[in-house]
Amino acid sequence: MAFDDADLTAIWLTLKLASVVTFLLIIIGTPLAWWLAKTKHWLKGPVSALVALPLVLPPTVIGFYLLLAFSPDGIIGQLSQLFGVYTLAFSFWGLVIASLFYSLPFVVQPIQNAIESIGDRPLEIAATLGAGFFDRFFTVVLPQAKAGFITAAVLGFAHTVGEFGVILMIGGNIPGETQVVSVQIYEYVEALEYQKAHWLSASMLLFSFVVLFIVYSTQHKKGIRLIKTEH
Amino acid sequence: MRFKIIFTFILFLTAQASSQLCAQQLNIAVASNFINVMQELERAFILSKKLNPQSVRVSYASSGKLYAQIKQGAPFDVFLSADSDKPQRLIADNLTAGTQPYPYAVGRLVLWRSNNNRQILQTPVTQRTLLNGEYNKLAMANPKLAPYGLAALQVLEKLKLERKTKADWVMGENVSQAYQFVATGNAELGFVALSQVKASKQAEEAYWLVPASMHEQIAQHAVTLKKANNNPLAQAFMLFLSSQTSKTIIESHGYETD
Repeated sequence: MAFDDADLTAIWLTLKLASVVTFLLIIIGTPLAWWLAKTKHWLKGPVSALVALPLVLPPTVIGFYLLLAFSPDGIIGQLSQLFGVYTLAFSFWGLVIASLFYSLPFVVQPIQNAIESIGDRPLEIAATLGAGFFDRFFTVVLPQAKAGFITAAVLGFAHTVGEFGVILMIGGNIPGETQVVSVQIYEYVEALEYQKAHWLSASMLLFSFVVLFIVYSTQHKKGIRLIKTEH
Repeated sequence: MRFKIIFTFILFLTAQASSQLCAQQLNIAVASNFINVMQELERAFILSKKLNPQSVRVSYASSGKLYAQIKQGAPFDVFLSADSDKPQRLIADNLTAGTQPYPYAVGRLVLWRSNNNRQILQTPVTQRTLLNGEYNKLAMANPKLAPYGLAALQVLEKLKLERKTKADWVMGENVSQAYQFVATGNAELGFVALSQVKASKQAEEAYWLVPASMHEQIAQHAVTLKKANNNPLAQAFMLFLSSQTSKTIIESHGYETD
């Protein structure tokens, strides 16, 4: 057997984390992307920069500040204590919050690019035909920006699966709760159990390649340049 | 004219670089938990041998990473591991100059309580703190990876608390991370190194020095590597490491020496 129980638990946990995060990010990211695509407000610059920060910040910086924020005296810690949670560190939902920050640009930017490439014209025409805001969004924007949404979801999912440094710093390596695949691989490598590390690593490699392959081939077909997020 | 300046500058840099190559150079790989002590040892070594400070280069990483790098041919002369296992492996791999590792320090384990824990701040930390379960999470280093983690596990087994506390464990990949978890208050209690609580000047009531008899010795071993075979500086450093000067420095940081 290539994977033992701990590996399967880690794989399941990783998929669960990535799914929850992707779902939440699409919900949070869409209005944000819409606003960024449409606004001429002076806040557009600062907000864009904030959204893009995880692209350039080392995970240790994000992990370190989250650890401080989660602590009972920290901003998020004080908030979570109101709900009876002493700290969000070492918990699944702590990882979810961390991943929301960490994968945000990978979801917001493709959606924003897709909305920008539609332009104002189709929406204005729809409006003159009497379509309301939500009507326009669901019948004009969503179909035309479909590729952007798919890219956003796939990248958000994949990037969360590939998350490591942040989770290592705030997770506490608890099986079934915070021990995701990347952390499990790290533990195997550090413990010199290279064979077990190989199995999980090779699966990760294959998974990531397939995901990126799908993203790039769908983009190629649509003829839209959606990922200009990277570098 | 400008070209000449740039050319001279490049020439200068090249000369600088090659002069460093020619001079006797000592590269030491050190487990990162020893960084505070090593910085002091390095200064004392350079001073006592009247060396050019640039002739000693120290790299810090986890013992596991340094071990992997040495196996891949990293140019280190001396390796100060945080355990006794990795030097032993290197000897078995025939990558060392001698076959005798030197135990340069023995670590001590403490049970340390976070300052954030206001409710029970008054009582000093003892074995009873653990028995009473007055904490949310118990941080420790991963027993699979770190000697301090293994020692913590052995203490819990000895106290027959392994099963009872298991649900509260949070594991750092090394003892520094276990320390982070407690220092930030995310975990209220944790097994960390005496050297760490000493370095951060914690009050004595805040930690319980676990009796050394409750776990296997946390021995840190050093070896001279094959690369150092003709390097007198490497031998000089190993000798210095066993000197009284070194021992005094090492002990002042919360380690024991043989």
